[in-house]
Amino acid sequence: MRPSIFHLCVLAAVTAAVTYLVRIVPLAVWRGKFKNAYVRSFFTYVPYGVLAALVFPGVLYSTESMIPSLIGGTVALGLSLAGGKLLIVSGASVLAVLATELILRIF
Amino acid sequence: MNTRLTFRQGLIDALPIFFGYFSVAIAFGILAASRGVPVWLAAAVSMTAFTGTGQFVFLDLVAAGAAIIETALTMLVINARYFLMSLSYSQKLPADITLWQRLIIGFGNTDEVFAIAMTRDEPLNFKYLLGLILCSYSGWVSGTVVGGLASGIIPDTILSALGIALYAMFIALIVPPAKKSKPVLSVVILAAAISCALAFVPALGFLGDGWRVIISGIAAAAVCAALFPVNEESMEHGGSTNTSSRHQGGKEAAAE
Repeated sequence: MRPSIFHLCVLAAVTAAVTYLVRIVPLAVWRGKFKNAYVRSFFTYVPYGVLAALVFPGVLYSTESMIPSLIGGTVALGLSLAGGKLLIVSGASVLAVLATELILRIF
Repeated sequence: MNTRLTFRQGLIDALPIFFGYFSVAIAFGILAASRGVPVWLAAAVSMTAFTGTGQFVFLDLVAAGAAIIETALTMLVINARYFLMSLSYSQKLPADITLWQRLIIGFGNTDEVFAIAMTRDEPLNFKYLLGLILCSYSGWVSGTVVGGLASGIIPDTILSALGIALYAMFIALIVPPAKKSKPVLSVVILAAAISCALAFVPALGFLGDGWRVIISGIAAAAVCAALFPVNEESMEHGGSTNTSSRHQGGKEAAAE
């Protein structure tokens, strides 16, 4: 059964509304800085914690199979450690995945 | 060279996001078309929701014939990390930012925009953030349309390879501050370890990706905040990157 366009529109509206509310409420409501030193430290570190948790282990599942992902991720890590710029790191890791996928296809 | 971040700088800094979003959005557009979602509606979803994971899950919900409540609750769980991120964001915004500007910044608070904004040493301002958001947004929306129209033309291998682009960008964003600051390195390693543990222990599979990211992020930040308290001075420089060579301490303190 294919859902009606109207139902799709309602689900899309709900998706947009919930996503927006979750993003906007803290920004709209919370003004000023936290006073407590622990809380301040916590929020200084949160971005790095969240980003690291997004990458690991998500990066392993980011392409069609794990080996190309692993190689792409390693290339990204290596180039980042060497001080590579964002676009270079990102582009090189895509190329590494592509190359690996093609090689795997041959064998 | 100006020490103040400009609109133009925002556009430039978001170029990697543009390319990453463009390719991921193509995949979204193609998948949407294959699930019977018309191109205009897929584009509308990208324009109004502007979120990666949430939109792919939206397509799963559509395929499963989900009800409204189910959709709302699922989105809440998947997007709960944004709550944490927006709260963290609010600590880095200048005091003079208006409610309207906050409403726009909040809309544009994706994982990637957040990552670039938060790893910048310079004080943030609205114009810079607007540049980041507009550049990213245009990549996301145009990619969706291209994907919806070109579905079937782009080879799977290329689409699959592009899937790693945004992850590589995250890695490139967190590595430099982690290299420079031991506390940041500790947060990153701890969060990654917890996240992998939660993902690979079968009994914890019920948590799903949404909760996994939040729990790992909170736990790692909570532990490291106790071990390495940040004082007022180093706050602005917490996890400083090497892009801040043009810092002028006095000006920064006086920033309106």
